[in-house]
Amino acid sequence: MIYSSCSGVVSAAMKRYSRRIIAVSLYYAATLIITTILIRRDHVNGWPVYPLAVLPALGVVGMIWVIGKLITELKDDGYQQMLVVKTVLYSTGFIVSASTIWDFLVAYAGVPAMPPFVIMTAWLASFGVGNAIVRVIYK
Amino acid sequence: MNNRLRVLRAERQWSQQELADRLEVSRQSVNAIETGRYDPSLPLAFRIADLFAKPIEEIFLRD
Repeated sequence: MIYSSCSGVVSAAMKRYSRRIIAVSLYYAATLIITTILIRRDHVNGWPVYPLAVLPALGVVGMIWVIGKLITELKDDGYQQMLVVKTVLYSTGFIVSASTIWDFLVAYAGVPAMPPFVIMTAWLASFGVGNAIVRVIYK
Repeated sequence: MNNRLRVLRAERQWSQQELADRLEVSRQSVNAIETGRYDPSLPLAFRIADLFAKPIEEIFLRD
């Protein structure tokens, strides 16, 4: 995410956020590639498929944790903390609303269901839009 | 809530960035407080009061 020309605790919190988000993104990419190769080539069968399938998901859970950690570490700059919270709130509200509407269209209007992982990817991508909206409102 | 932060900063010829550095917050936060778009937390209000060596009520005023 977010903010330029920060100083002190904000800058330190943003640096930690950047390091953490890069680390969990690398973990996610690595486990996704490994899991895809192992399962599609039938190198893993039976019960080990379950924990293996969960490994990439833990990367996404880690991303959520990193965002939560940023919010808590911005406690000494309430204004920046508020901007991050609003960004996450707008993004989450938009994605949950859109996916709920889509689910009802699937259920009652025969619209095709969304492929897996779309909602999570869209949620993470929506932070960029949410950040832009918050910047316009609170410039 | 109204405040005299811009006046006090100007008296010391500090930029918003300089004040932000002294308070360990972002420049945007200083700007938001000065323009009345954001009321600081109580700990930050005390840091501001300490920095300008004034009681809080001489910096932050009721509407």
